[in-house]
Amino acid sequence: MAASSTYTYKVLKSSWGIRIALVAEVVPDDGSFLHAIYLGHGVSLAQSIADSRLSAAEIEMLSAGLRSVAVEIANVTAQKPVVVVLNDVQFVESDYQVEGLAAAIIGWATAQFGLEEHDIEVSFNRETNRYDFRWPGAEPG
Amino acid sequence: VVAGTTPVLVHNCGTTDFYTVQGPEDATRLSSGGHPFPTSPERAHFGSGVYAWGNEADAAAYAANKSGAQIMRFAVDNNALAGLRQAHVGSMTDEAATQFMEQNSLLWGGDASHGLEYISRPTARGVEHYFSSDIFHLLGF
Repeated sequence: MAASSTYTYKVLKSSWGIRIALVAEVVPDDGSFLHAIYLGHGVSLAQSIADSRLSAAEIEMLSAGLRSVAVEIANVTAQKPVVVVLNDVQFVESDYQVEGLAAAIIGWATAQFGLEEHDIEVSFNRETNRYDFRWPGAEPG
Repeated sequence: VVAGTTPVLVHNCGTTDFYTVQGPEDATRLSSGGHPFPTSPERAHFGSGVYAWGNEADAAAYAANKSGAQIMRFAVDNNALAGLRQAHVGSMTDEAATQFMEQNSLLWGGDASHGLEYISRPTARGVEHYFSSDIFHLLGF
């Protein structure tokens, strides 16, 4: 298994963007992460962040993103159960939208496991002052 | 009053209030001259200075999840404000705003050598107002 690695998701299409740095590692699932969230296909998500600032909605968005690539991860790990352990998530609140967490963890998993690139289309909606995401395949959730 | 497409400010008397959210140490620093100003991209992406919100509600929302944070109000004379070298990213097209951020924000690959004294920009959670440390003496805390 690989060591902890950092992935930075960035998108900028107006006066503000989404910039999220995510640090995570993958470890064999030996049952030691009691609070891990099982996402299917032998893939779970856990946090090692002692003082996590992440809300329930943010954890759910990370879970949704990782769940959307769980089948691909299982193909790489030969179905052996693994836990993706979040070690750190950094962002600046002025340049942040929660959906970016799903894109960030998909990007991290793509790099970490050598998955095929995922084309996540993002556009900025000035009227709502939000980024609209178009996910490849089914929407994370 | 508007002449062509150029706004003409006829009457500038009075002041404009801004609201900055600071922890205890930074509140003390701003109350005693401001130095040393933070320089990290996460805290000073347009360069050293004061970052504020244009209304108290935005500041309160930003401060809500920050233990020990306080809202500091300051006023800027409208004549002085009008005379500052300034840019307002919200009035630009999305393409121009993106280019501005890429050139001038340390968060987005810029070098913050813009020479501007006042920049406003819409963010994910309100309009951010940046005042250069060079004109700190004009900020009435």
